[in-house]
Amino acid sequence: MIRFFAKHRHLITAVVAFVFIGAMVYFGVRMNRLRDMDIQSETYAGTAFGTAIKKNIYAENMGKCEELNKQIDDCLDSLEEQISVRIPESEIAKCNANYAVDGIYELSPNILGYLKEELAIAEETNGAYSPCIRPLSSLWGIEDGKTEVPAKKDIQEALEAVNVEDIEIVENGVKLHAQNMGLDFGASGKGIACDEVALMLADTQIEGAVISIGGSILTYGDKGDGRSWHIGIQDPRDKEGEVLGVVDVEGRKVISTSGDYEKYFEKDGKRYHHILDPATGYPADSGLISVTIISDNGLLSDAMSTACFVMGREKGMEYAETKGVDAVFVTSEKEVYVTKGIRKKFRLQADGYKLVK
Amino acid sequence: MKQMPVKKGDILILVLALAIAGILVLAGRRHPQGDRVSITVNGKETLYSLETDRVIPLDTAKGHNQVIIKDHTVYMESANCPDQICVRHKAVSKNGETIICLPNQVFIEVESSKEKDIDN
Repeated sequence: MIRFFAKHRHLITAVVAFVFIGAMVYFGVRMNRLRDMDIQSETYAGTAFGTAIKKNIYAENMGKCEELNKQIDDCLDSLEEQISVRIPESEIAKCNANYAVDGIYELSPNILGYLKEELAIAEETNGAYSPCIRPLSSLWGIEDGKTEVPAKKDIQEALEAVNVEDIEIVENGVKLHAQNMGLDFGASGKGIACDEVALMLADTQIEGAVISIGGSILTYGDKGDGRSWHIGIQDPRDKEGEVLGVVDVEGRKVISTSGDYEKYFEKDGKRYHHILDPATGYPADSGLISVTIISDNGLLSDAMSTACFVMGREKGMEYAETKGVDAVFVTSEKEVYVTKGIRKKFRLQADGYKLVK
Repeated sequence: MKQMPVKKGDILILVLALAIAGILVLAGRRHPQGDRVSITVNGKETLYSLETDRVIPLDTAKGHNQVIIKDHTVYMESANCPDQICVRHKAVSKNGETIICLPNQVFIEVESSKEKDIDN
């Protein structure tokens, strides 16, 4: 036996060293993985704001994830009960139903705050965005499943009640200066929800979260590893839910996408989608099929994705650059344009599209 | 130093070392728990294994859906919802991937050791 060891001592040394190094590497990798596992993650799916909600929550343990999920739901519910036009008892729905022309209608300070921001966007976009598009959107009813093109005269009539100039902000509320008007945060509400959730999360022990509220996605914190989030942007022409591309974002951001593929009907070979142009009264026909806006401000991100979709690529890109937000524009020719700020952070993945530089 | 001829013992030790390495690699690959899919209907969650193929008919508040688990993936085979978004959705198999039928309020979520490359 001793003779055996003596004879093979070089080989034995080599083998022992090999196994030792192998074990070190293996357990090193294991330990790293274990450290990552200190942070638990959980996925929750649900509905709010008439759309699908998905939450990926990262926290120190499962109990915390559950607790945070509940807190986020409560936050979303209370905002929805305040601003949704689908809930008849909401503050916005009650205002729309009960306001007197030229009279003061009192609104909560947070709603007035949102409204002021929206009016600024409406002005900056020359009315491509409207926070009072309700009469027109309810006439079309695309989001409620209607599949008929309304009569021209009905559209003209609805448009008379869709003038942003008829909204006047006063101390504790608004004055609406026309009949049949309707405030509607439908094109910004999901972004507002992202903002409210982010504000609420600031007081919690959360590590990170990615929360999708329909077309608006909030990223918050990180997974406990300090790395950026990889956010998939929907391929506007893929029906199976594949992504167009992936964009890397860090910390708190809201990524909102508006497209002609979300809610639409087809008639005589023409697609009638839910993004209505307040200038014409018809679905926006600007040569775009999808616009994504990335901003720290959820309201801005959500409202701007709609506004830029209506404005078209050139004006929309220009507006995005002046507002200092990042954006991805997809034209009906399947050309993809991105703002300078994310050129290195966006990776096109879907086939059939061309990234224009 | 003089080159030593390869002996029977050398080969034995080499084979042993390779076997140990092989076992370590296999141990590293094993999942701590089986991959599962969670299906929530009418607010009630049920867990199914992704490892076993099966057909899952669901009665929902607004109609019926049929989920299929096949080859370690899950998809909505049919639904009586108006938009059919859930039926068109590709089969999912990675951790945190979901298929949602909004009209019928059906939520499918995958819990898998296979991580996806996007976070939303």
